[in-house]
Amino acid sequence: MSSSSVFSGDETAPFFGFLGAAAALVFSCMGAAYGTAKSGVGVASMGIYGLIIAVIISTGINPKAKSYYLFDGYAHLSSGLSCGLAGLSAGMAIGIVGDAGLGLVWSHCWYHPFFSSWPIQSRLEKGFLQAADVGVVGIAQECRLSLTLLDAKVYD
Amino acid sequence: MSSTGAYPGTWAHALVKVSPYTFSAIGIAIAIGVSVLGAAWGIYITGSSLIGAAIKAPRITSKNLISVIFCEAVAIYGVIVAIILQTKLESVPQSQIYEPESIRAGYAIFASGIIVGFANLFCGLCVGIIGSSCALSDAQNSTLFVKILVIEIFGSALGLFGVIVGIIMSAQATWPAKA
Repeated sequence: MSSSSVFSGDETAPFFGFLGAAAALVFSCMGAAYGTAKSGVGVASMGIYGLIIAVIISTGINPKAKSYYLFDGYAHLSSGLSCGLAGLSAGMAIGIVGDAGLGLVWSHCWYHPFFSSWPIQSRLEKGFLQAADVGVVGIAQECRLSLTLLDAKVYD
Repeated sequence: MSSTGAYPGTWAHALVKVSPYTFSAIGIAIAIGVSVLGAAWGIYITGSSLIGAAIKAPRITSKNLISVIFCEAVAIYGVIVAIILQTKLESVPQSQIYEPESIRAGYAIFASGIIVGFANLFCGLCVGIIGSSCALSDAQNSTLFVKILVIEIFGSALGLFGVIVGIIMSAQATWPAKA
């Protein structure tokens, strides 16, 4: 037990690091699950972002190869949380947009005799989902960028 | 801020005093317990819709059991990872329990258990909701079954993500060699 006069707490750093990897995967899976169940479109790609970030973080925690300070642990925690919560909100957004888009398109198709064809409806639906996908990719890029920025600070 | 008094006051001080075996045991319990919670929740969502829809359309029962099987697979993932994690536990002599390396091994098993448990929880929920919609739409129009099944397969991939990361992280659980 380290009870010397200066206690740095570096032994608890892996706790925060591993928890960051866990947060990345769990929250992005939450978003993917919500989006899939709500809109009926397979948004498992959201979970893949979380998987990648979780693997990157967990293989970066190696105190034998490189000393792992409390700063590194907090950096990994925050990058995992940012990716995970961004994926959660993106997945929820895709789900709500897809669901609402389908509802709106259906209501218009029903009352407007001109738009009573399936191709237009499916194109509108694809348009909504493409917009949501761009948002997803943008958010994912931002969180990957934040991870690389944090990692750059870690390896300085 | 570190302190040298009788009552050290940071969170790190408190965390260091918790035995790594506590964290490991809680992680293993969460891996299996929360996965089974997700599987059960998914099965009850899809099962109740399936039975209700089968009143008017009894032909859907045998095909739609696939949804229940997808939910059950989530519980099986939890069992597999819990068994793998408990083989990672090693007994370490009393003097080495609070060494940095064994503390880190305890955290690795804890995080692995959380990852698998909660990823399977949300996967089970997702597959359950989609399975319920699958049963209801199959009762109306049997051509829709295969299309919604494809979405269910995407949903069940989420549990696999959790298993993959959990197993990768459990490889980090290396206890110190007995001195």
